[in-house]
Amino acid sequence: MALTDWTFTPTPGMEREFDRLRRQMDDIFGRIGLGAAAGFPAMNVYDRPDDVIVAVQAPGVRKEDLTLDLRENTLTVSAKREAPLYRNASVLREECDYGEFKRSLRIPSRVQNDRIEAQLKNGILLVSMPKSEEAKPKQISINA
Amino acid sequence: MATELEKRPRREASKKTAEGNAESLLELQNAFLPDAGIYETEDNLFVRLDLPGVEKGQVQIEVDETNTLQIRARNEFQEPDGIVFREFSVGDYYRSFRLGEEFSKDNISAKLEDGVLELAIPKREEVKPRRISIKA
Repeated sequence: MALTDWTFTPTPGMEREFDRLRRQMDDIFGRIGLGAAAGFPAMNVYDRPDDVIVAVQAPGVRKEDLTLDLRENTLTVSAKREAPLYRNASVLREECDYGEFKRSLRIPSRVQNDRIEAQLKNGILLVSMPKSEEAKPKQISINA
Repeated sequence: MATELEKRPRREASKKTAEGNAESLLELQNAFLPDAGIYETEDNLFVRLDLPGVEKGQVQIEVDETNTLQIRARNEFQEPDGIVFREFSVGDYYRSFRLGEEFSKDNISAKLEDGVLELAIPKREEVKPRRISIKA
């Protein structure tokens, strides 16, 4: 073989075993809600006092191939990632996901639909959604 | 719920490997093994790595005397606070491959676009396939 993966692959068979094991672990931990797992693109949600931020990790996805849609409190991300095209190439290894993807996520709070901003930078999409007034935390003063 | 498991990177590269090289320009911490794609054409080997969060100029590529191609990249993504749901962790990237003798280590070109690094590693002239024309 022309190229071997130095850090991760003692032997090709072993690499497959590791990969299979990792996928199984991801699957199990994903199902019992311990983070990790999930498909492409991976998403993180940050709940802050004034806004909710969703970060979408979408390397290789161009801006024009991303669609965001908010319906009620469900944010849907649609993405298309095209596989690389090389003339007369043989694929020696491919670990990345290509094709069309769609994922939905429940936003933990009411947000102001008309003030949502999204920015794609270095393969990470940041969606910031300001909370609506009634969803913001409020301190209640106690009268003596 | 922030369990220890959640905070741990999904595929953490060996820290020893990432820090073992004294010549490293980038002091990598918490380095991940990025996903890779490798394609071979007649003239080149193309190595693609998913490096979300990495800016141009934050990638270091080197081939050492043992023909090991090493890629280090710093993740510039600033994670907001208040995480409530996590599918990816943020950290730097490190990956290495052993290159065959048929590749030229001096003319590697690199391109970073939308968080994807593409390396073109040319084959040495003497190993490129040649079509021989047959004279009548």
